Amino acid sequence: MHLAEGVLSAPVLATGAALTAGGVIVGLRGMRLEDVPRVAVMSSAFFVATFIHVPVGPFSVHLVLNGLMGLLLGWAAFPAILIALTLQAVVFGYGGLTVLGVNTFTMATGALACYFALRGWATSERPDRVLSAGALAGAGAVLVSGILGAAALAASGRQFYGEAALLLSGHAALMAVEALVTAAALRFLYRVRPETLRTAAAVSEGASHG
Amino acid sequence: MEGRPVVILDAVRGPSPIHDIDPRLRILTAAAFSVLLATASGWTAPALGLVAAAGCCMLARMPLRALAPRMVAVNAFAALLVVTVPFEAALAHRLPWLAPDATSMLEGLLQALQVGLRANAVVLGLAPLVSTIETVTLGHALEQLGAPTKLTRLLIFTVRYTEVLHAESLRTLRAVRARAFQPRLDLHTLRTLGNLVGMLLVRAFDRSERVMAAMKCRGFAGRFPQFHERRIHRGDWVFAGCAIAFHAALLAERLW
Repeated sequence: MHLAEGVLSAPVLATGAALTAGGVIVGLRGMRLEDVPRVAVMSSAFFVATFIHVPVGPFSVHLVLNGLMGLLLGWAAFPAILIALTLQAVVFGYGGLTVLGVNTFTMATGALACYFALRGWATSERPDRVLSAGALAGAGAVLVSGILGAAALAASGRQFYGEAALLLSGHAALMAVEALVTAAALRFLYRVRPETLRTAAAVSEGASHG
Repeated sequence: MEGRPVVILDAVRGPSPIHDIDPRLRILTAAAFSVLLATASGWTAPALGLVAAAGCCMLARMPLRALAPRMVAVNAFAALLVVTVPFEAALAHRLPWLAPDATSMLEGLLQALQVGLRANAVVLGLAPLVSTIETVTLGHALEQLGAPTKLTRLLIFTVRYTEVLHAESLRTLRAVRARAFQPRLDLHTLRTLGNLVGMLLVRAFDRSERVMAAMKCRGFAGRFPQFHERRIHRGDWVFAGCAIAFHAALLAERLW
């Protein structure tokens, strides 16, 4: 969920930008030139996923897939998400330049949390673990991002508590949708091309070794 | 049935006076404009920003269909604020079980409207300045402005793959629809979409391997050639002068 421009306070915007810059630097350090196309593919997938809508009652939610990105990219999720959100801001005008830092940080931290918590299960030989890792990553990433987004809003002023609460409660349906879609996507990769789950994690292996 | 390729990351096409301005200059102006207005307070700066932004939109000949979705998105957010902030403002001064008083609610409403005005100005200003830059040019411009090479390369590749993946997802969706798939909120829909995403990734990973191999074959050394060598011309100076004057005025208004 992007936060809009012009809402957050300057300290919150600056903190988000600094944290994102740090994450992006770590992510880029671990990437080799050969990894750029693979990370770009994920960045694009993340972008294209936002065009896929699922009807929820009278509304519809679009896929986010940041849990899946985290599992497949690790630290490289930071630059990948930054690029996808930049394109969204520049081409479509959703989000904006000053909130780019905060929005990237909320989304990428959700992705990264999944990577650290669930990469063992995601690369496991057992299909039930892979499926659970997918479901937990789908729901968990959205939850973490939602909480961070609401926190950024609440930190910008007492008057935004109401909107923060609304925003967070709006994430409940998305969590369920993301859990099932991510689980199915991960199971698909496990069955069809299990090595993607491991070779993709190699991008981050580089990152953890600096 | 393939049809015409759908280009989704298309810039708003020119020609227009704004399109002629150096992309680097437009990016810097957009950044300054966003930062100054997003952190502005009061009514004057956002109002001035909105007028300047609307002027730039007209100069750039922004079509309504490019502007409408982003204005709807930002105003949906602002509308939520208009609904919630007055109550929060009222609660801030009183105990929750007392009826909210009208003065603080009005204060909250004005506060929310101010945020909304600010948000509209920033979004409207960003549109003519950066949505008119072709995405590949954007990558080059960012690189010249000092962005890390790996990051700008990632941007250029992402632009390319987004078109490919989008076309592929449309093709796959058409294929499942031809088999009577109807998206609903049920397990079947979500599983189908998950498989679709998985398939998309598998095909895209394969493609990225092939592309990398082909690029290495042709001696890719980490740089892309640029087709349009730009020279700074008079229009750039005029625009830079106006931009600096405008932002200096905004700053002066704030410090006053």
